[in-house]
Amino acid sequence: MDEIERGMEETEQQLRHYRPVGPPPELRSRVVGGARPPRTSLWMWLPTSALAAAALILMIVSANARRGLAAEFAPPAENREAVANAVAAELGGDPAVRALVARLIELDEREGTFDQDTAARPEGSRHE
Amino acid sequence: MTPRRGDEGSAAWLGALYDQHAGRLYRYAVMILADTAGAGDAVHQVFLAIARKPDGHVRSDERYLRRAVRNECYSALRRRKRETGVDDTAFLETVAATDERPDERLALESAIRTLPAEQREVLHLKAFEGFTFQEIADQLGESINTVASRYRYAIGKLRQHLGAKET
Repeated sequence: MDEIERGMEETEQQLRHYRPVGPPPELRSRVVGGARPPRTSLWMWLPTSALAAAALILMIVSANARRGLAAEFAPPAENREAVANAVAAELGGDPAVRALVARLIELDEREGTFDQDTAARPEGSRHE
Repeated sequence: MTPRRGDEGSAAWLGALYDQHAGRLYRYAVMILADTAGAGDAVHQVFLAIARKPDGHVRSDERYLRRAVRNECYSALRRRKRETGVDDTAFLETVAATDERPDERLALESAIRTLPAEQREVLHLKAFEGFTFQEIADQLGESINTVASRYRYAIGKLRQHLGAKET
């Protein structure tokens, strides 16, 4: 072993008596106390929230479209009158019946199920 | 065994992870930086980054943590070049409490502070942690020759510095 190597060995020996200091106790509370809850929960809810928002938008759009279509295809008032009179006449022509038929047609129109052709036909010819 | 983040909550999980790794990571950072306050900041940053990651994206193995601390330390050193004032708090302690030699410790600390960070790092991994040159080379992504020569330069400079102090 030459002198340089011996010197290095001595320095290494000297180093072995020491080690770097460990973390101060307050670092643990700084680390653990300073940790915020993970963002996992937020990310986890993201797809669900996106789906719910999409469904809501779709519902609003389809409701608007339905309302628009119903308004566009609503039977004119004079047809409604004629149909109401025809049906009321079939049921005896009583004014109370006439009023009830008119109310039913109105409700039917709101639901979008009113079919002028079928309603105006005589009773016997409706079921083919 | 590596602690797992579970129902007990993030803080308990982080506490267990800290207890398992912080000692070694802090000592590693102390030697790269030759600065205890900076080492505390580096370790704190690494654990904070882990705590903020969502489940499934957390890597908490020793190798990853070491690399993260190392990156923090070298970033801190780059910032430090623009700043003034370095912590001169004692960063070495005797392995055996009865072996206290304050003058020698001070001389060693002062000598270690004069080394470049890369040499301090290799000195730490070899002399204090007992890794082989091959293991250090793998960890740092350097050749074994580079690692070995950094170590020899470090020991040589320490010897010179300590010898000069003694004479």
